[in-house]
Amino acid sequence: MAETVTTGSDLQERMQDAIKAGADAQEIEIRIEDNENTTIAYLKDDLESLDRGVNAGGCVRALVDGSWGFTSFNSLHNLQDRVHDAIKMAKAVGPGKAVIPDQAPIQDSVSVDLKNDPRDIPVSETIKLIESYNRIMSESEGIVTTSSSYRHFHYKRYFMNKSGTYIEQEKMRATVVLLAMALDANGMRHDAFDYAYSLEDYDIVFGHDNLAKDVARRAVEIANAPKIKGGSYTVIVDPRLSGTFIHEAFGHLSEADFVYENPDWQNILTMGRKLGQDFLNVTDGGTIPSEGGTMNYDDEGTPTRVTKLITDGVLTGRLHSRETAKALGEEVTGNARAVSYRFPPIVRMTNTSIEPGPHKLEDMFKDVEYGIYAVGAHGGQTALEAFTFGAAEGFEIVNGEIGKRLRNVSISGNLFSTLENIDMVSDDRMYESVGGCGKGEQAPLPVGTGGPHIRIQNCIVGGES
Amino acid sequence: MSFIDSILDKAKGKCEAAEVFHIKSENTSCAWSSDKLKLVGAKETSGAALRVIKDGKVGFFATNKTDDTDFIVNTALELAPYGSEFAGELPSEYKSAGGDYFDEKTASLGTEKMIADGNKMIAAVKEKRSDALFEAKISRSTMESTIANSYGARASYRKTSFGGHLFGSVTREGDVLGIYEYDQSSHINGQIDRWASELGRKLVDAEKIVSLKSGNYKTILMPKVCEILGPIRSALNARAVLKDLSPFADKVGEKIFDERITLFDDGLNTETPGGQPVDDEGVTAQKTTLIENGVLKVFINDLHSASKLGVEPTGNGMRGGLSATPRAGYTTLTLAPGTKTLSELIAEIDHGVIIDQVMGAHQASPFSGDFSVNVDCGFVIEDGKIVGRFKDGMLSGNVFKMFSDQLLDTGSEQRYMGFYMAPVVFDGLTVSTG
Repeated sequence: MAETVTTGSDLQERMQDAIKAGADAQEIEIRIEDNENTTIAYLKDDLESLDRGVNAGGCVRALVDGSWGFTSFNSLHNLQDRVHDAIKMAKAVGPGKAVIPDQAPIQDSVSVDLKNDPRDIPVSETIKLIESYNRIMSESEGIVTTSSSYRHFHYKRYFMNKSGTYIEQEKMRATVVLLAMALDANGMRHDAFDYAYSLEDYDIVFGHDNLAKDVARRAVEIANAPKIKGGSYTVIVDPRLSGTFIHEAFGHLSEADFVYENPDWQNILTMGRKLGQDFLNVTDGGTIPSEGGTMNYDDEGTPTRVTKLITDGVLTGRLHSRETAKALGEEVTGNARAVSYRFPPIVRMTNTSIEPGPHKLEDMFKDVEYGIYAVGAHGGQTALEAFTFGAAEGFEIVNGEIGKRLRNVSISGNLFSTLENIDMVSDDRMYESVGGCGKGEQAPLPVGTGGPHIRIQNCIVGGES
Repeated sequence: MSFIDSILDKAKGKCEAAEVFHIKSENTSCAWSSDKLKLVGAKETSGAALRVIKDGKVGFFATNKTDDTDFIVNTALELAPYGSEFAGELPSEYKSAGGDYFDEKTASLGTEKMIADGNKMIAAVKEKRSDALFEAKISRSTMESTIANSYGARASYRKTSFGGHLFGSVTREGDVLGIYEYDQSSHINGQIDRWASELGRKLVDAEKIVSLKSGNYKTILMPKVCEILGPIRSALNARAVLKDLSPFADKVGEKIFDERITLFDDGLNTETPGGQPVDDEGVTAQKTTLIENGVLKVFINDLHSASKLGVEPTGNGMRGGLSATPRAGYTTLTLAPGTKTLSELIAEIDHGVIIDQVMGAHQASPFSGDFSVNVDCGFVIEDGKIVGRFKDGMLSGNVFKMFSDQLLDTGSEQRYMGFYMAPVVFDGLTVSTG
């Protein structure tokens, strides 16, 4: 019954041996992953859970006759058999059209410069700290319940392919999330939340007493705020939300895997198409430091880089795996990512951002007679050209001034008309990496989202009329 | 000594109780994109989780590196002094409810057959809309679970599941349409033909775009839209009651919904993938009526929350995988069906909408019941007939209010997508189209 996973010193050698079993394949990739995580969660007054786990395993992907086969497993014995299995599955697909570009072999080992390693901290210390934040919120006026949690994960991935690349990559993240709930006049619960995270330092968990107080205050204000009325508004989106907006509204459409075999989409998303005003610039890049999507290599061993997706309002790039880049005759971008060893890599964003623009924040509000100021992200989703995203908090803008709070601010739109309707972009910018991205079954993939303040005209906001 | 015995043996005398949960599963899947088969894949999963109860507190460790049993036991024991309270008592014997959750035909389904069926499905739906491109996935799994504790109780059982999706899209400048069919079952039950015929019909209905004014409409919610019912799932959970998260905490015995609403959780359902003979703490599976004719009866619970609330366990201690401690979760949350087919429900509406797909349900506040979602696929009904698709709308309302004040009718054709339900008709839901 007991199955063994070893990620010991002979791993590289065993991967090397296994790859030899793939002589008649165009490419063989082996990925081994060793992931550990700890979660501490307070809910209301007590510790709700303290969970620790190790998730380790591997996968093989094979490209044979233009088709892919994939297998994942926990036991790392008999890696050669796994290579045979993946080849057999690729053959079951039958001859296909997948072609990949040559890859110059890379040997590298990338480690994170951990300032204070969360794995070295006694769990009792973290629990005490999280409990103290939780108590600050639960003892605040008007708070009915609270949730305070801490989570860290640390993983190491080992990648080898038949092209001669061998890469070891390490990643860590520690996150604190504080959430408070208050009751509205009808006894229904409304929440406010905030968070802090770091990709290299446990010490991010300290010093959030004021954040806890602020979250509690915001929860009470949100519960007492009127619901927004549905309609079309001028909306100013803050930097914490504009990153989610561009991720959902545009980022997913720049992933080449759904256009590379779809001529209709290629006609719509032709390079050089004008999508927005001259000051609209959008980038994606795994080389942006210390964010969720940061890594030196993607899960096909391609070095990451910054790709300019929209430059001066014009479509200039898209995100690629080796296969989609070859099919469209474009360069690889380092965007083939897998959420874990359970899945093959697919085209994903890394850290996606609207670049800072020319406008001053005060000028963006000045001439808005009545509009909405949408702050912080409460998730988002996209389906082809349509997208939606929720704001964590919303306010009216009346005659250029930020007015009273509104709740349930959720925005919907069509990609093309919405990008055209961005009429101002501020000169500040902030990256965020708390959300995880989902695509198909693969979620949550750590990504970063960034942006300045943006102003969107004629934006559809949901709500009862 | 087997892995499980070795763990229980090493934990003996060092804690009040120990419990091992072990899973082993395998899955094969075939995936199509742009009408063509693209990938065949296989997954093998194995791993174990140990929960120890020491001085009334939980120590928990999950891993799929199961060779070092000393490390597993020591890690759980080291964490226990800081862990969460455990008020329940682990069962001393396991009694299976007796249902068979394993289907031989699903277990032995080969990739050749899956590939042939998938190709046939795409060809069939392509006939209805030749200008569409299709993506699909067909997937089958078997799972073997064992739960054993230091009181000597031990249960092992096998399950199968079968599911996947079919997605069709039509891309034109200024109008991109995408509709999917999806459901999950414990076995093969005609899904593939059903997806092809239902998607084919919807793609044809969607060909014509009609305009819709913002307003309140009679609305048929299709089972795919069950995501927006999340606040109901949360509110009927004993953990939410304990933590002051449920608006229904003090409403047992009261009428909270329309009297035509009966909701139950059905661990005995062998049709859907959620059923199993015992839950993930070893409590015998059962059918639990949560709301009967609109009246709140009980909340689903796990051993800890049942003990805290002083009620009988309902067999809902679920783990959702290996990596977390058991807590109250649904096996098959079911809305009791009505008698009318979808066509009959449509025929009774003079002016209304069908909401088939939404986006952004997870953006809603999980406990207030308020939602405001993008209508990703919606149809307009005039004089009892679908006249076309409407675009760029948002649907808003409150799920609690819908089930108490706005219910018109419930259909008969149940699907499982996390909530086992048929189409439901509500009065006066708000659609904003800008």
